[in-house]
Amino acid sequence: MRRSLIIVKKELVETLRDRATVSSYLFVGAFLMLFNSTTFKGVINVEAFTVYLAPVVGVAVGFNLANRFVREKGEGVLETLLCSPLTLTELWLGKVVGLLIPSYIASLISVMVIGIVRGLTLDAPLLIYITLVTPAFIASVIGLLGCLYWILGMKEVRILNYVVFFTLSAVMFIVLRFVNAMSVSIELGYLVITATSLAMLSLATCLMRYISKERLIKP
Amino acid sequence: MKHVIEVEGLIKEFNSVRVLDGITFYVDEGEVFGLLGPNGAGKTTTIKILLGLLKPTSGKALVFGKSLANDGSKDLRRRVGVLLEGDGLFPKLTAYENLDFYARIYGLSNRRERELRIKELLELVDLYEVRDLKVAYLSRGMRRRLALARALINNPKVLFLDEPTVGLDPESRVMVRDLVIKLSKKWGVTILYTSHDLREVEEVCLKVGILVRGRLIAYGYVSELISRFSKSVIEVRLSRECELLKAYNALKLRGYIVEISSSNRSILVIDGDAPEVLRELVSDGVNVEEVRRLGSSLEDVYFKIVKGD
Repeated sequence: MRRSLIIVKKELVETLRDRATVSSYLFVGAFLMLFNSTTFKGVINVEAFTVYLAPVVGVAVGFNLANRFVREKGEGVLETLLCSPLTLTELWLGKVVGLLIPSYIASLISVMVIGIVRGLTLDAPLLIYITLVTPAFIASVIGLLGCLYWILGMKEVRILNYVVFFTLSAVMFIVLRFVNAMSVSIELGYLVITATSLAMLSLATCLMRYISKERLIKP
Repeated sequence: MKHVIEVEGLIKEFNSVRVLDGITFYVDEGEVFGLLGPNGAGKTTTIKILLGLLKPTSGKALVFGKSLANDGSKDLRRRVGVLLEGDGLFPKLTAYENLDFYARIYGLSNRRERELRIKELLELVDLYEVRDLKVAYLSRGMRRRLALARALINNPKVLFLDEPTVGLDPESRVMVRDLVIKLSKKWGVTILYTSHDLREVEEVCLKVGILVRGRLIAYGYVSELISRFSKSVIEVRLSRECELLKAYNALKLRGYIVEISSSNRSILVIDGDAPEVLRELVSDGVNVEEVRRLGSSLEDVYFKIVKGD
């Protein structure tokens, strides 16, 4: 765990110095500006939209940063890291948390902006959703994505990105449509997203057992 | 004495292609062992198996009697230093931050101790002045030197150096060579060393193994291999350059293997007896200025083995 925290710290320092972070944040900013200038109060249910926006912004930023799982192989760092006392699980966990933090911050900023501009009322379920469900969802996506990169030996990364991103967006859309159409409580929707997050994290943890160092370093 | 590094009958296949074919060698404490061979001979694969990055198809690859491939080898990994082809440095972090990162990973939790160790290593590789520069801005040679400092951050007992002097200027090469000798002689560090610079290997290594297409063709002390494999070469220096062809033909006719040296006025005679060669040239009326036996080197051995010279 201690070694995972060292990885987290390193990831955060690199994130601050990474152009991908700046571009991600600019993208989020541009998206929010566009959203504010093209939608009208009352047309969209702000609470419902926030439920969708918070994880999507976080996942989008996470996707942009997730190439860190792959980049170290190209930079010739991965082999050296794998020779150190670090285990693969510690490395994976450190990366997931290290990438989750900037992604979640972007997510929080977007919620705050919407909250201020559109007068969002934070009730208890929404607060729990933003503070617990959203980071869990973002972490599970980053974790699963990193794990899949590793399983594929860091090949076909771009194709995997598209597949995972569009699958997740579709799932989120379907879940939220289902919540609206069936008039079920929003809490149930949160529960579904939480369950999905836990399932993805469990899947990633299981898959980690099948990843070998040899697979990672293979050219 | 127990071997620090043990490789026995090591075989590695990639998609049914055999890249290591039952190699066996041992390295004892404080020894510098040179693994030589042309590109693709299997040097890096051997190192990667020893480091637990690749799994052997069969055979043993042990460090301190244990395999680094096991999950429970964390403590053993703390005693091992590694410098592979990649420098293992994060380009966005500074030289200091890189060493600090690895120091923490290897368990140097005391901040003061860590600072002292990093300062000592940065001074050792002459990079203290650029400690706050990001690695991305360092030259290739500087990065290689920093990578060497990184490999030493944990005070390793065993060091794997895969072509440590690649990209270094002559001054830095000498620095690395001297450091390797010091590490082994003064601090008893066991070192597995690969390089394409055979003179460097001869200066640094006590024992070598020569790999060709996954097979360990020669293995032993450098001096032993030189006397076993190298040819005896005699250089005959003539007084007059115009007699070069005459001398060459005379010796060739008598069945000697001869070559005209790239330097003027001399002929190289392979596996000849110096007094006899001199006697025969004099009897043919050739004016000989000097006859001397040339010293053999690891380079001669290497080319004889690898290229069949």
